[in-house]
Amino acid sequence: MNLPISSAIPAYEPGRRIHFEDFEISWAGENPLNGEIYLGSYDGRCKSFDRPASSAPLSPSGEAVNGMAFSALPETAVAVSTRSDVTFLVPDGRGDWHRADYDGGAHGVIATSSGGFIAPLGRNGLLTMKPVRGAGQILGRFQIDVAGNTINFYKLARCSGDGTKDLIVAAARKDGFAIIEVNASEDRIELGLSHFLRNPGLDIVDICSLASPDWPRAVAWLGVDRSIHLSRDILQARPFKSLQIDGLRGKAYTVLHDRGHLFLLTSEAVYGFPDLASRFLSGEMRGDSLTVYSHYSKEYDDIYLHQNHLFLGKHGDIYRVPSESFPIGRDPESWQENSEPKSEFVEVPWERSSKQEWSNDLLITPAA
Amino acid sequence: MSSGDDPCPEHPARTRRRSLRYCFYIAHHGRGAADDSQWAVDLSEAEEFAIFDEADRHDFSDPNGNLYGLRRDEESNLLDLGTEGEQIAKFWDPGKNQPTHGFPLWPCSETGPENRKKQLAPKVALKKMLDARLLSRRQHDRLLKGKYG
Repeated sequence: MNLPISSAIPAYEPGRRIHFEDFEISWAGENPLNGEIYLGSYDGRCKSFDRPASSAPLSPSGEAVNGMAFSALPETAVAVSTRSDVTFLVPDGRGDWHRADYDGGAHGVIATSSGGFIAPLGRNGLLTMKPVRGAGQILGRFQIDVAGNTINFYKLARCSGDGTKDLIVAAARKDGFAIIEVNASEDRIELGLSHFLRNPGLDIVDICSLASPDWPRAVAWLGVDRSIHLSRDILQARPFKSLQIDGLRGKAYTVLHDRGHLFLLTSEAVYGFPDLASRFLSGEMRGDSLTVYSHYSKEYDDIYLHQNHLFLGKHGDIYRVPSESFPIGRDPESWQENSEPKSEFVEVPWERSSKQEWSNDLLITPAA
Repeated sequence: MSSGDDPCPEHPARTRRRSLRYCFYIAHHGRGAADDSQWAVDLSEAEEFAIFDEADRHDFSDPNGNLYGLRRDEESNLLDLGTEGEQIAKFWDPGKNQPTHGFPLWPCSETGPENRKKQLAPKVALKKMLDARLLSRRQHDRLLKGKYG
């Protein structure tokens, strides 16, 4: 297979560069149904990394792809999000696709275990969709007010799911974070009992699952101030553990978990915390015993995971580095070990609300 | 802000390049509808006007003549302009000798009637900010994806 990976690896870059002349990469991720890497572009196209010659213009607006998700039910359906629209493609069983477009932007999109999709729309709530064959697709837009304030949904992660019910967690900026029960029926997604937790001083910008066999509902969430918050069981275990680590730089963007390790992208660096999640889940971690690896760069705009590799987005290219090796990447000179930064668990008080009643608009798109 | 009954009290200064007039529309200063974006409470009138002045100075415009602005700290980090973390502001086409006003733009558009649909910072204006080196490539690319810079 002739993969379009550049063989030229600049000395200052860790890892391999993925570059296309006619396709500036804005998003990268895995289709879990077949393991393939999919890429989105800054002009709204998508393609498989394994079939690089063909790309499809999926965003009606031609805006930058900021998320893709894949669903196995009834067959492989695809959702693509940009800041201006969300597009759903559902196979029609005859080799073609039903298409449903939502004419509003999202910060990304995820799949549920029931075969549906959910996209965070900011103050506009959550967009839901359950693909069905041969009929109009039902899109739902859900909003919820907590203490007179409409929740600002920014990032989503699937915490657990059994094929019918999912537990979704959401980073909601200054509204804190949310734990949302998601129920699927034949043709739609409904949102149920949800819990909202906030600290007035914290801007929560990302959230990820730490799921392990022992702790299936473990979660980490990230403050823009680089504070990392951990829970073994988001529904049960409180108080949560909040970690403040001295010496980290920049505005926090993203937190990722891969096989017990945590990774953090900020405006100034990529950080790797080996075994932080696994040690936290096993109860072996103290707040003052951390190992941190740092790669300082102000160029990376995004970070993704795929099959034991980190994908670092930069200037429309992707730099792929193995996530299991520390220091990360092929150029140890660019990574610095800071074996014992000053760190501590701090007490963060969380205001908690629970609500069940979402306001809901339905949009039924015609079969096409 | 000292508005009295004036829905858009005018700033005494004009922009340096085109001598444009500016006013502070109360709908974006705490007295608008629930879906009207709001300027950050820590942003002074002088700072809001300075963003407009810089947008005019660099001609961060779209094809319709609307202007777009941003605010940075001394280390070139983008600062929030709005209460929801918005980082780009839009200023309506000032027209001829009429004061215009601005408001923070949401990072994602919203479906709805065309006249109420939430708008985005256009690519052409973000590219001008990049070319003027007021946005880094990373900040530019993240804004195109509906993320904060």
